[in-house]
Amino acid sequence: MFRKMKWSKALIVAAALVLLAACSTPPSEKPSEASNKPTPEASQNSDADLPEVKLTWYFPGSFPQADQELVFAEVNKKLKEKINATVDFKPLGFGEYDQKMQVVIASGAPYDIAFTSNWINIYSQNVAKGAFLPLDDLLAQYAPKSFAAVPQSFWDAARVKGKIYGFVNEQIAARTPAVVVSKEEAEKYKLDIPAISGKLTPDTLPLLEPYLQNVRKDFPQKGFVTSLVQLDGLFFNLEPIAGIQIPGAVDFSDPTLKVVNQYETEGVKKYAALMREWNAKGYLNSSERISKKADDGTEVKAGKVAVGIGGSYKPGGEVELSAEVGYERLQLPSGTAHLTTGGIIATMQAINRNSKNPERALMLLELINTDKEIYNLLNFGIQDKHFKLDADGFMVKEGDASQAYNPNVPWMFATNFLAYVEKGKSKTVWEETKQVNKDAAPSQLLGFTFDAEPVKAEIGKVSALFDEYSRAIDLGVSTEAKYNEFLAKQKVAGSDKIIAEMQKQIDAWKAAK
Amino acid sequence: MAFKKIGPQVWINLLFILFCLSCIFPLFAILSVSFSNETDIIQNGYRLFPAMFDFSAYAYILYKPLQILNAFKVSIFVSFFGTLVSLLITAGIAYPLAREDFKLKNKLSFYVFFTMLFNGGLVPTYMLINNYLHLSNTIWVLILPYLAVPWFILILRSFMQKIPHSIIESCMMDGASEFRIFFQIILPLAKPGLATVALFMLLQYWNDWWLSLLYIEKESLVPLQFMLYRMMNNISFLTNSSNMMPPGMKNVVLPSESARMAMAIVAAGPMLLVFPFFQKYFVRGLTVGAVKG
Repeated sequence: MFRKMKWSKALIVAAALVLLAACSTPPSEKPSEASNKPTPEASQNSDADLPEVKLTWYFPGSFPQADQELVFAEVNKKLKEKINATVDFKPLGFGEYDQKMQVVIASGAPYDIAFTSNWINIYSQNVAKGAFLPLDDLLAQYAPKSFAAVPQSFWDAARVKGKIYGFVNEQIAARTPAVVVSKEEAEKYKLDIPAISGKLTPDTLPLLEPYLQNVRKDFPQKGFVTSLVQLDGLFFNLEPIAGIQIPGAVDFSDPTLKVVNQYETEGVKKYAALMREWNAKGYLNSSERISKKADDGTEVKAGKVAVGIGGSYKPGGEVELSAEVGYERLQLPSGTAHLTTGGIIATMQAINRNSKNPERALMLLELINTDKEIYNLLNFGIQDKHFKLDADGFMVKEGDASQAYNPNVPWMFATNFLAYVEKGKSKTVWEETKQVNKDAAPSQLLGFTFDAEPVKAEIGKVSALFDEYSRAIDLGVSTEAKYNEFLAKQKVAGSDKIIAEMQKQIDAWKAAK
Repeated sequence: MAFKKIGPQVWINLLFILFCLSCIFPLFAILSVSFSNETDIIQNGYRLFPAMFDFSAYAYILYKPLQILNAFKVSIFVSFFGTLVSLLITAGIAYPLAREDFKLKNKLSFYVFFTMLFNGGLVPTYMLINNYLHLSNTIWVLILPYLAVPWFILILRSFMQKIPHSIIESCMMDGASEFRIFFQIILPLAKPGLATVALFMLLQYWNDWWLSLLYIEKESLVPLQFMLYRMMNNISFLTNSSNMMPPGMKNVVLPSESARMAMAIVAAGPMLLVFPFFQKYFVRGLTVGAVKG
């Protein structure tokens, strides 16, 4: 008996040791640093001399698409011709991408390119893990055109500790929530557009009230829909450091970069008070909306929204908004657009540290970012099969056949500005978008990314609090006492510690700059 | 006397009727939503009985039946073939572990039990299957990892321990070989246990989406549950995280509420039919296994 016990104990210890050993060697350490440095002669070779390679590319979107294999085969034909490479496309649905990438990255698989951002396959976490290759030297050498085309401030936003790990796809990076109304109603009930467009703040939000009342006279079921999550910090002239859910934001106009709790600012408090008032007047349809955790767009489709604020204003956005509901809608910028790190790093491709052909991967990205034909093939499918270009050069997607390939992620493959313009949008929509990006007020925190690791536990607690209280605040069904209770509970959960940590990191970042 | 007994009877029955209702109600609600008209749902919310019968959700998911039929094929093959092989292997391990005269019985039992507490973890498993065994994107990756589940082995072992050893001894005296004893005596006697474990296995294979999430990238090998999981997950991602995403995803056409429910019914349906078939053995198998557990 005794001997048997010893046996099994030894076995446990042995097994535990094996497990520990397996865990303590992260696979990402394996490749030598030498592979990071491009071989200089490779770039001097003409394209014809390039050896054939197969690259692997993971990306999210509305996948699977029925005809995706057809389209990818077509793309590969063209890539083979131009850069003697083919790509093993690994398209994944949004719901599975995050989970899958975590395993793929942890296993040290030698894929080449992966989409990364601040909302899926999180950039800062992956960089911290050492999953991606620094691109500083490679960019100028292998992707000179795209490197020059993207504004320097965008590259700076992608820097982590001074190095660029992400290839930025340009898109509408300047963000401000959009005010969305029905076009017909706006004309009929006299929405005062010049007074509202770009000028809404928590103080001027009541300007919408006369319009709301007018609409509700004829359509009493229509109300006002927005939420803290949709307004984001932007509406309150704040830049949240770790998302609106987590206390800690910097005022755009504060040069000292002082981190404050956004829920203790006058702006958010005024918003909460106004929502209480509007709920008392019945504008918010709160008794119906409270049955759901978030507004998922069904209210609009059910015809119960007079004014909605949310999403992001962008040139040409009304075409998509109208297509969503089947009648014409208007969008107005709610405030001044701001250029934040989050808006820029929302769309990037990263190259795997374990990639065997990083320079070829960059050449591929360069090609897709400069070759209109290949980009649009990936984006819309095969011309005359999945989309048509009309006489004026607008892109038309009509009929069932066209839906066999429609991943709907133009900003994912490469820079959005190469896309054929959809019919209905202005011909110069991309120039307008570039202008919005250019005109936007750049955040003073551009290039700063918060490392949440030291206060992970506190962040978990306060975001649970946000889930508990925010819906009631948005629907105006809470009281001021409840709001103060929310603030008090945040304190207990460690909001001060989070804010102090943010301040510390920002100060260190500022000093390093 | 008779009067006294009625009170508790009523309470017990009432309790179980309520319990029964709370089990049936969600299923019924899903069924009802799947037959509802989409605009009705948006305007009036969910109802227990559809205001108007509408088959458009089923028409929608069966409009291009190839994908869903293929997923069915994968799911059915994996479930039935997997269960069959897994049952054979599980019984094959459980039987020696249940034999009193097997010397390594305890050590082997411990070995099986040990894997219940400790395993390689997600990443090493992924690396083994993907990088070394190269099983990714094959149908076998959906079957092999669940072939020998320690929990099922232990259930079946306890069940087989109930079979008196003297039966085996008398068979040996009659000159039966070990294989003959196993296939002709033990397996038939262990039928209730086998049926119980088989049902568990079937459910495990049928409901699994995890293996396909990790290892399947080829559309032709996607099983039904993974299709459903993917669809639901995409919807919840798009509704919850859309404010972080670059604008423009809003006009993605999501399957309607009723189509999702119809999909759930289609995925759950076959198992609902299989269950009564096993039920005969089910209760017996479970309790017998539990006594010695």
